[in-house]
Amino acid sequence: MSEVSTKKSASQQVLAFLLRMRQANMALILLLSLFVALVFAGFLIILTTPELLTSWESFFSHMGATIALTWNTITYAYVQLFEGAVVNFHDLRVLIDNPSMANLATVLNPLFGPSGTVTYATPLIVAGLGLAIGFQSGLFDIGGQGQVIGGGALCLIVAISVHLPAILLVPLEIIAAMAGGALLAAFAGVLKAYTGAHEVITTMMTSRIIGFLLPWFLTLTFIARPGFADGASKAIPPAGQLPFLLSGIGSNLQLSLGFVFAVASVFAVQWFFNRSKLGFQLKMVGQSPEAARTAGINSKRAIVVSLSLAGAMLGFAGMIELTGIDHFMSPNFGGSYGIDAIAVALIGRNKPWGVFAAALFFGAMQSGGLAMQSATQLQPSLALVIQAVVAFCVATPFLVVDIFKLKNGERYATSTAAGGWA
Amino acid sequence: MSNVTTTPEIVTIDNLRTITRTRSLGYGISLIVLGAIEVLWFGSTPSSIHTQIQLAYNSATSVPELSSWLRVLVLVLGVLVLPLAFGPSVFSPLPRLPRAARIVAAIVGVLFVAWPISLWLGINQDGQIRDFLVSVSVTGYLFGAISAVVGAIVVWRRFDRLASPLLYAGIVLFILAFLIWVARITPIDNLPLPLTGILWGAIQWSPFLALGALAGTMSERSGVVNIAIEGQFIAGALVSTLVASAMNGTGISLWLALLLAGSIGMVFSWVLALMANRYRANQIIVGILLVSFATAVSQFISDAVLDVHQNLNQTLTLPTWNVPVLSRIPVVGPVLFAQNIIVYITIGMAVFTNVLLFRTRWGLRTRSVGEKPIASETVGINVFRMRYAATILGGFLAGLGGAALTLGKDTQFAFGMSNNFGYVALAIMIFGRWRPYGALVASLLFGFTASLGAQVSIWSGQTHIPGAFIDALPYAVTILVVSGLVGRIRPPAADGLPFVRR
Amino acid sequence: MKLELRGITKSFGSLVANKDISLVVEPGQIHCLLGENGAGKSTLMNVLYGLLTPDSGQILIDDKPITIRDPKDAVAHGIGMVHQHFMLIPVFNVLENIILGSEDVRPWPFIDREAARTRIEQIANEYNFQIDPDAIIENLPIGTQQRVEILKALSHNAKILILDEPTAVLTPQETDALIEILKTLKEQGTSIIFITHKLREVLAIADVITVIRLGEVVGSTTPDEVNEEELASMMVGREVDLVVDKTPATPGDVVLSVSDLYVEDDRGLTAVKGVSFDVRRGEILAIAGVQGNGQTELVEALTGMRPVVSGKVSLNGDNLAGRSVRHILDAGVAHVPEDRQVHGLIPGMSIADNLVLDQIHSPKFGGIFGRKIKAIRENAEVRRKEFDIRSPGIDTAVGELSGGNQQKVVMARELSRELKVLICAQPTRGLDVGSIEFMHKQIVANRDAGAAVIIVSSELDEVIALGDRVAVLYDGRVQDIVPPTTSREEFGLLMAGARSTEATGVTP
Repeated sequence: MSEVSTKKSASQQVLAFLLRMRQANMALILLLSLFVALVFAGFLIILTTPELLTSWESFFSHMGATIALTWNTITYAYVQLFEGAVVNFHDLRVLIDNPSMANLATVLNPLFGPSGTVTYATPLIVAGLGLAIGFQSGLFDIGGQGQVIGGGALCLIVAISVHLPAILLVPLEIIAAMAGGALLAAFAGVLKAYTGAHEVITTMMTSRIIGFLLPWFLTLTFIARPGFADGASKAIPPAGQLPFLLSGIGSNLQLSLGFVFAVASVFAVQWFFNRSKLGFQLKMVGQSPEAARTAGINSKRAIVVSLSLAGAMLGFAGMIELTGIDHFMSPNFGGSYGIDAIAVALIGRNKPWGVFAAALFFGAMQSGGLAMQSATQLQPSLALVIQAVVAFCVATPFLVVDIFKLKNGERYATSTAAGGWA
Repeated sequence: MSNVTTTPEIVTIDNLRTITRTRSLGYGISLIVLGAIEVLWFGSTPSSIHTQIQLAYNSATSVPELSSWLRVLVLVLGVLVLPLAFGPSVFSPLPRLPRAARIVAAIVGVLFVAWPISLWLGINQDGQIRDFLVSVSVTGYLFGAISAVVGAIVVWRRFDRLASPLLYAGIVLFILAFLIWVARITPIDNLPLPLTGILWGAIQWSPFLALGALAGTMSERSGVVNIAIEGQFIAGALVSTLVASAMNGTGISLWLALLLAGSIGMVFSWVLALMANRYRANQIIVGILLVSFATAVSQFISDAVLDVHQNLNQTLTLPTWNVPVLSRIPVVGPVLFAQNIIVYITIGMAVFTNVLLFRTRWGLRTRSVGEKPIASETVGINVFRMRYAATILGGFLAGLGGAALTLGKDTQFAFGMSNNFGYVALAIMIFGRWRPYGALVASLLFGFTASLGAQVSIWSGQTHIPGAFIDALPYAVTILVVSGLVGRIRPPAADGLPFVRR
Repeated sequence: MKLELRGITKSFGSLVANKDISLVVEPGQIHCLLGENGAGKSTLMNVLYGLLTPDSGQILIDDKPITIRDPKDAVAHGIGMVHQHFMLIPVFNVLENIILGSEDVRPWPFIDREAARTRIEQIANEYNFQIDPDAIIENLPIGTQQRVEILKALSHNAKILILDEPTAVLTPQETDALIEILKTLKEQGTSIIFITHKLREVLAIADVITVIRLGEVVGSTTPDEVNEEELASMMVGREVDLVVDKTPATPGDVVLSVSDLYVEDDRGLTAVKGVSFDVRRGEILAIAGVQGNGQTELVEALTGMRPVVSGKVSLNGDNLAGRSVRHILDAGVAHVPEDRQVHGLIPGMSIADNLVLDQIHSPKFGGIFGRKIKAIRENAEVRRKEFDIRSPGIDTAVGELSGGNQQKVVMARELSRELKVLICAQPTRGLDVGSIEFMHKQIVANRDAGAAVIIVSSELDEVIALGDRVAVLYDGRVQDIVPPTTSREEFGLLMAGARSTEATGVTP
């Protein structure tokens, strides 16, 4: 009897604790979003794994076995995902038992693991910051992909046509890439400011056009690499490549100077919004265009400036991708950075360090997805699903607040002001 | 003290004229410029260069042959039927038929008269409509002259109301002249211009876009911005292919596939409407995230299911229906009446949404909710219910658009196949001024550029235009469209604004 | 039909908007509901119309209690309402607006427009309205739009018609026409609830007057028993003293000179038609007129927010017409905008940030290393004390403040600069009496400190109390510039478009 009652009180305590935990805050919402995403992805695993499906067909005869098999399959996949994304526990134990440079390199792991995660995340951090600038001023630049390519393309032209030492060439590449991205975005900005064309459409369309022009660009004689039929560009000369930071530990660790640039960008954007005059004015325009205009801010100029800044960051991301990772341009240059960056900015709630963390999460999903594939035959695109669900839940926090009946969720009840086409 | 002045100024016919006068000027001058380009550019081609225009499409749509005495009989019949279309106004003893019957009489009459005459003129050759040779320079001079003269008249007479249709006609002529110029017969190349084929392709290509634009029109008329159309295309395409393939493309499965594709679109729209209505979320953000969700899930299913089980991703297509008689009209017949079923469904949906929005009680209420929801509420209309209904109904159309991408185009599902055309559909909705027929017509413009692109890639290597530029054309046109090519367009006033009940 | 409200109570959070309100409207009676802005009149009517649910209380029609959950119920019980902001769809035509919500469908689901047209014409004839059913609402003058609203209510067989501040947007002529219509309706047996804060109208048409103050019924009376002063003191709870305590103006040199100014509105129609006036140092020029006679456009043109079509605006000889907002603000023009929520403040930002919105580029608050956070915060602390902004602190979001405190933030910001000209549009709209007094004192203090002040207000009382000279705007033109001691009748005529002199209003 006493045992039962203590159990009861313990469960009551747990319940009370959980109730206290149900106060809505962003960390909890993030955790719950991740939980929702993992559950959803779990269903997809069940639906696409033949052994699990057959097992579920005979669910009523082998209930325990079915559940155990499902649980094991899914948790194994997620453990692989985690180890690929963050750290491999086995390798870590080896390193602790036997500290050496080689073992450290194994832990850092060029492909999956921490090094891979950060490498994947680096351009995303910069691109996400760019979109956050746009979002903060009330503009939806969803054509980041084209701006990444545009920045990369100008950067490539500079890198292969100018012969300078690295100390001069790299800054020149950055300027060229930023100009490339900024010009493309500014085009949409000018259209928005002077004709009222909605930037969601124009940025997406310019991005598509750039996407079509890229293969053609790569066939131009001064760009194309001789002898490559699949449209690869000439390589970036060594002076124009960003140095690898960890080459002292392992020769194939690809973490480049770009990561330092990315962290610096976080600080810069942080300063921009908290302290700079321009950042304050853009925020004003974003929150209330009417009041900003009354206070003497030229809203047309603000639109162009804001989109240009966003585009410059995306171009910068393209430069980091090109000079820090790929070292040449191919027809699918830039992956899906432009689109992923939207989700990154939304998950990071447009805060610089939030964007940083969200980009790391995306990088982790990338490298974790690859690790999971090599271990379990599950497609790495499962990680994309997890990303998408987390992004959805975090950007619409009121949904999570409602599903889990969180307390005091009112401040998440509505998101940023909506707008139409006008 | 009592010299009270007049009432406040309102829009009068006079100041409306001053507003539009500039339009006839600008449009007329554009026409003259187009004409000048045609004369100077295409007209300067050496007169020996000709272009072969193919009007034939396929044998199922060729003009049927008639023996001589049958030709006479048909002609006589046509001459007898035609007056029925006009009724007593041409000949008093004739009965006044209902409108539908008059339309049928007109069509039958014109067909019966034109058919034997065109046979006597020798339209057929080897059981097909024969090709025509036209001189490039003569075309340039002729079209250029027409364009310039019409332009001059528009400027001179201030034809405000006719200005924009005439400009569109002038652009069509220009494109035709350009095509004739591109597809010339030279000593080295022989590039016939399959005119009917290009036009057929334009209509065959556009249903998914039209359906997407109709979906947008539906939900935005009720005040909900649906940017998730791209995601609904992806989901609809995936579901339709999966369902049809799983049932091996049997007759009923295709229809079930359409239905389920529409349903998955409805699910997306429901989520959007829920976010917009209940949580007053930013509809653009929700839309973009729904797209990225659909993209991710479709990629995963594509990788994990379709690539493994090829039989779940078959190349299936909805049946093509050659409308009897009508499909045999030269050019127009195959283009309009020898199409995939989805084309007819799309046209039907456009008519349906137009009637629904502008003729019914439901439509009036839906539009009121999109303009000024608070006013609707004061007369007892449930704003949220109208918005849910319109958005979800629109979702069905968008999902159907996804099915049109696969089953309507004779292709299997491929990741990334919708190619951001969901956003183009939104631009089409804007271009079509938030009206169903507008959406239908505007989507044809994009269909035409796409069909042209396909033709250019067939010609590839033989013309000087890189394919990338033609591929990019629809997107460039979209930018022009949304940045006010068609003038300032007013969206529904409450579009995208969440409704807050007091 | 007899309508009775018993003990209606409605609160929003801690604010009690209606407290135990009871009133009776007899059949065929015009019942005026009189009260200040924010007294709770509109809340009460929204409760009656089903837009709000009361916390307690009863509604009775012909002595039978009924429940009204939404406007549909209200309409079904014969209650019609003409809202202060018309509930018409601007792009629909008259017919569509009238039938919306009660469309005849024959055959289902198609709207039977012909039946609707017949019905509308029948009702219009019955009440002697002249309205084209196919006219688009946004092309109609305001007075006609209001008639459409009334017609809409009548077409729903309204037996009780609620009119919420119906004369706020009307010219005196349109007001007269409306009063005629209301009398006709009354004769036909319709009961009318007429909500207003204008005393004269009340005395002109009411059968019964109920005065509401701070959400409570102060008393009920009839026009025969009271005069304006008594009603006014019932409304505000003390003897009204709208005469602002100020010394006579000592005008100096001309600071701002406007000549022959033409401005277009959003629809491209000329809204300001050749306005000319001068404002001198140390004087207040009040601009009076019915709303929508070009005041908004005039202020926007003066502050650079709207392009000037032609004409001159000069500040101490420098031309301001066509210059940017920033240039005009920096030249020493302070602007208290008409709609503080939309134009004056950014609700999501803190008080401190809102206090420097238009000064962020000045060296005082921003250098090359960014904004000077310390200076901004110090400024906020000073202003908060000086202007008595009631808030937990300077980091509170402005959106969380009350209307009066929000307006104080706007005022504090605009008055804290070196200013030569102060332009206040509707500076006290929707504020409580205390805040109004505070605002008026601040404005007069600035005048005495040497600013040239322009006040735009549609409240004649405020114009008379504050202005040293009053320019009356009608249909985009200055009818005349007159001293505030001019009689109300004279003002009424001017606001209705009559001119006292044939001069084009350049009388200094």
